[in-house]
Amino acid sequence: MRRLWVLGLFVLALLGVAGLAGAKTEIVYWSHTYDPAVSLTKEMIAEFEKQNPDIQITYDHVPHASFEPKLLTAFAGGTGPDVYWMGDWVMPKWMPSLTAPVDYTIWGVNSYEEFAQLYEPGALDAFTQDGIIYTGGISEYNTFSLYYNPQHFREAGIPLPSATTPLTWEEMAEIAAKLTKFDEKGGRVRSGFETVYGVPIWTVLLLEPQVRQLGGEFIDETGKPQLNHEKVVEAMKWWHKMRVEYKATDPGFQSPDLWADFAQGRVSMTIAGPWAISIIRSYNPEMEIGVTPLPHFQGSERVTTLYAWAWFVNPASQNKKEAWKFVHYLTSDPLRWWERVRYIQPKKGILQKLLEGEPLLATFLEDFKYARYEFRSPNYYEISSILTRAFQQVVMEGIEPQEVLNKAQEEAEKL
Amino acid sequence: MLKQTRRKTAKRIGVEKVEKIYGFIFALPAIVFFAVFYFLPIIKTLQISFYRWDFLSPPAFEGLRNYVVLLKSSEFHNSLWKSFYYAFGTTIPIWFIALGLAVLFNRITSTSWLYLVVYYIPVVIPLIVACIVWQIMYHPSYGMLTLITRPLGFVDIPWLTSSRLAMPSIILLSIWKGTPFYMVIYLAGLVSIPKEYTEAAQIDGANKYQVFWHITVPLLKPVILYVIVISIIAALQVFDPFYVMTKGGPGSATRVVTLFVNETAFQYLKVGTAAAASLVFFGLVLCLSLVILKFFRSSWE
Repeated sequence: MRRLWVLGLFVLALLGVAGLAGAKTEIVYWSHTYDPAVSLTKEMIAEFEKQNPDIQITYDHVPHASFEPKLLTAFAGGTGPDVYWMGDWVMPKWMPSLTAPVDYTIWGVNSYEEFAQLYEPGALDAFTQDGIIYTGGISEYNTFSLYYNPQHFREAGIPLPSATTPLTWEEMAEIAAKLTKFDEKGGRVRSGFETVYGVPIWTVLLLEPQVRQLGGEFIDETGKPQLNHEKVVEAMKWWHKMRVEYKATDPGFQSPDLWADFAQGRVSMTIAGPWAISIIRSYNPEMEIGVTPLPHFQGSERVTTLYAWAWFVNPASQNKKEAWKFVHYLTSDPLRWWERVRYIQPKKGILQKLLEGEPLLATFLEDFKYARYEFRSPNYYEISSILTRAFQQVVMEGIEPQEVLNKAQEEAEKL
Repeated sequence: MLKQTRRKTAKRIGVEKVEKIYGFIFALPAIVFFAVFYFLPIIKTLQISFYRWDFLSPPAFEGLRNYVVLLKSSEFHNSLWKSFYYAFGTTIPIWFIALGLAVLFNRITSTSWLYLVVYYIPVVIPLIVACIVWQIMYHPSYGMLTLITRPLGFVDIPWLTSSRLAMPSIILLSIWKGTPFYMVIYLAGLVSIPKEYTEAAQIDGANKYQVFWHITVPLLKPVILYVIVISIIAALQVFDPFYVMTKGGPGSATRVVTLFVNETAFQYLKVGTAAAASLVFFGLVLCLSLVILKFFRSSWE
């Protein structure tokens, strides 16, 4: 009987050891849904798991609009993922409570400074606090340039703009007016220019470079909003003119998909990042696409926009080492991300290599030289939402900028 | 005899007790469901409304501050106004159109059931799909509505990008989507009215309108009351069309309370303020429902 007991215990111990040996470390990874990125991510996960049989990646992706609420509620409930990606604008609030400092040793470097050297100068600024870097790498580095339809330009007898020298906003507005078409009853059949008018982040990305070109800022040195600052009003007047005087844009004219409008010739010019190339081509593979740098005001400094998405590790993760290892793998092949997803990972020396397969990228690389991240504020979303409501009143209804911006400032001061 | 009666009474009481226990057991899953998914969240929301909480750090108690913030917030006042504007703008036409259609369909012929099925389709279509379809219909240049507006000389009507038109445009969609549902409820009420009453009135010389106003409507009062209360509550909770079609714009023209709460909680990370806003809105809807019930009951009694 005693022997039987000993044998039983031995078998159990063996099973336990076998179980432990087969146990894998699970890393949960979340992103928002973007089909090209999802497909590449799945491929890379399979490869990573093959190389690291002791790590299992559980990947989930949700639509863009519900991604942030899902992340936040999961973090609040203590069930956030080990690895996730997110945009730079949330950093003032999320860093460092939801982002762990990068384990740079996985990248084979010895300090945060050395880690920063792996990227283009300033690329990691938005993810750095007190000298500590809180990301394992940028997944998507973006600036905005002006897309145009060369065929529409030729038809209207307008010379094609340069791929490296920007138009002025005034020139662009005049061109947009010429490209806009109305039918015999006065109904709009083509817009010279359209962009995204109702999304707060977009409002900042569109307006902020203009305000900065004029020498202004949305917030002052103390972080206080200054939405009715003369430079903000001046920038907003350009949009008012586009809508009311030139009649070159009408937000109501857009279909639910602006990129389809551009690809199918209903819109002649739009502003977007390099990621839009693949979307436009997916709608119209034959389309000739032109890109010119983001315009600037006559005599003003050149300033363009800059925003990024990056990979983070949850500071509450029990398996940070494995999580960083996975992020390291995701950032290991920037060329593949560009070819498959049209996402730019700004690793040092990589940008010129990307150009080889996509000549249109030259313009974006030019605009990157003048790019500055959006304003930093823990109230980023509120300020950008207030600004968007004002922006919509100007471009949708033609209300005077000073009037709406005074109201916006009143609202922003209550934050 | 007395003993027998006592025994019967005791037996009856025992049966009643057992029935009560069974009744409670059968109701228990529903009670647990309501307690866990309705009552507890309300209590939790009440608790959160007294805290400053951004999901990222532990909640900090701050008393009534969130309520004071709402009291001073012009955006919250605006969203309240927009919610009630939408709710009454949608439901009042629905009450009348749905009743009218129900009366029509009540005259059952072999083909009217086919019309009924066709007319019920908007209810079956998912709201998000309906919103996207209507968004395309509202396109000022090539939307389906231009087939009507252009021959009348109206070009490029900014259905969803004008402060004056955006809310009525969404109301129109909601009337189209909601009417068939309430029509079916009215129809169920109409079908249950005994034909003898209307026949008796007709024999006494009442015409169609007199029969409708003096026989049908009074007998349909409980159904009408139900439709009024339920439709208002449902309309005040609507979120999708505003989120999909206008995102609350232009400006704040269609920023209803549900959008305000969503933005405040999940974009601005002011969960306490969002919880307080939800509760204030809940209180207003509850008061409104009670007033409507009281008003209609007393006027009908």
